[in-house]
Amino acid sequence: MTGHREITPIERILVPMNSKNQKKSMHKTIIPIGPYHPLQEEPEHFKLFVEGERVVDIDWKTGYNHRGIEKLAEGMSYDQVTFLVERICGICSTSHPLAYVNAVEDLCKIDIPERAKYIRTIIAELERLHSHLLWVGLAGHFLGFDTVWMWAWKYREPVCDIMEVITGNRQSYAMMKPGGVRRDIDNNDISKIMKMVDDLVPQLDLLTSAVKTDPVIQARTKGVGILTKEEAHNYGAIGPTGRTSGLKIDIRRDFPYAAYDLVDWKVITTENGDVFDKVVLRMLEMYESVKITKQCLEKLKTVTGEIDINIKDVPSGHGLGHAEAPRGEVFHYIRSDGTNSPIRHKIRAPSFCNVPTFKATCIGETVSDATIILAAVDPCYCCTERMAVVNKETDKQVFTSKDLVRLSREKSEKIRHEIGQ
Amino acid sequence: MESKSIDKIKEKFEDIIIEFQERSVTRYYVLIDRKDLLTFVSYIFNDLGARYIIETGLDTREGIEILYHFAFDDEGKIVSLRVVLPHEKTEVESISNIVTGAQWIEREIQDILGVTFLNHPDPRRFILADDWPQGNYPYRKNFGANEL
Repeated sequence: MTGHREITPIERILVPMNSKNQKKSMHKTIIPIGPYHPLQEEPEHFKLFVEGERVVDIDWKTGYNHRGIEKLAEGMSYDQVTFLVERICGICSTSHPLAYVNAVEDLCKIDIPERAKYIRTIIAELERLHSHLLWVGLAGHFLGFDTVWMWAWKYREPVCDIMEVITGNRQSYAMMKPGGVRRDIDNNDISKIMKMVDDLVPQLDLLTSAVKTDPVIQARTKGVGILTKEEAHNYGAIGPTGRTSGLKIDIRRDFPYAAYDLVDWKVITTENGDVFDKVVLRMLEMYESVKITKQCLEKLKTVTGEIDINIKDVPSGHGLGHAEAPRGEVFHYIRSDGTNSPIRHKIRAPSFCNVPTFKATCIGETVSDATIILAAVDPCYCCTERMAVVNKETDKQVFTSKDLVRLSREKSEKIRHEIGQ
Repeated sequence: MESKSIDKIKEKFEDIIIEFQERSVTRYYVLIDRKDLLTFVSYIFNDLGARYIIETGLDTREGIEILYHFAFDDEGKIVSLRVVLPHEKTEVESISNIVTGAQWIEREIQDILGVTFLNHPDPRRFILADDWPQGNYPYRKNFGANEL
């Protein structure tokens, strides 16, 4: 895209269509389809520029659903902001509050009680489990594997049930608080929660072996949509997207918060950067989440005491906090002037850095692979349904998002047929 | 943990750092002049291999302040470069030609705070609506003051 400016619809009318201009406008002209469209759950727009089957360029437009949360935070007290940021995302609803409370605690230079650390970690890891399961299901659906989709989402249910036992809610748990957590975990519930977590493991085994060994999944995902290590660094890719490209980064290990430095676990990284790696890495991460959760539950039996220190005053200065969400690092920066509200609250969700990597991964691939490549970074899942494909020669919309999912599924079907499954 | 990168930054840019603040063992804030920005960013990002996190823009009494957050993951340190742009001239060089991933956030800051990023590869409007009035910046502190 460098050096080129999009021609607006008005300019298209104003610019006389002589042959020279016509050629120029054909290069980048886009019919404004969407972002509001009956197929789209949320407004956001990806434009794929194609030549035949090949993707030659991609553009991303966003902001249609900008809620001004950063601005709203400037008018709220530090305690209220926790609830506000919990509403940023429904899927990783605890990552934002966790990064935010880390920022406030950095600002106040305080440490929280040990029991609260374990509780925070349990919530964060269970969230990762349900989020990754949700993603695996969707990836299966895009590839035409509806069995994987239904399995994954069925196995996600018990995770939401555990959340309900612990917090009272299946989503939006409202557990984080600057200085600790809002609710304790009843030690009598631990054995029940432990059993539910243990029961997940055989189901994960089943899902992992299905994903790892299926020849069609391999054919559709191996070597597809590769993000190199250098590109990952240039785009600032984080989370599973960065780790599959060989970036050995994980906020939980590099900048320990909650109880991650008190339990034993490892960071998974791979080198290939393709869609297959992104699937496998998420599967393996789920085992680590189970491991971390179990250790924390075990510790809760012996670590007793307070779960919250009441923060009275917030000093002026900089507060910077982050947390490893299922999709990567969530980053919060607070500037305080010592009053009850922050004067600036900057929030960066992981998809903001991961989404632009499409520019590196989609170009040169076929249209039928684009859906799964876009899905592989795990943007909020409905993002992938916001695509429209425009033919570069005629500027006509050729595929809707439904067509793209259909194309992707047809390709899997064809491969399945070819290899005689 | 000892940090080689922080020492290197301090040593190399001793003359151009206006203020160096070590807020804790993991958080560093470095105030520099905007003319030194590209040299600084190129050294941190390319030579030291820091990870680019994001930019924060905010409106203060002194001017529009931009913080460039970089992480040294293997050392567990975060360095935030700060530049202050006076309200009369809110212009700064774009770092997008060094850090590809900075394009989008710079377009966002341009929309919400009215900062001009010089030599930006693609300075189109990003998050504001197409019919949003020109010269109206929602994250400036005086936004909406005239209507009251």
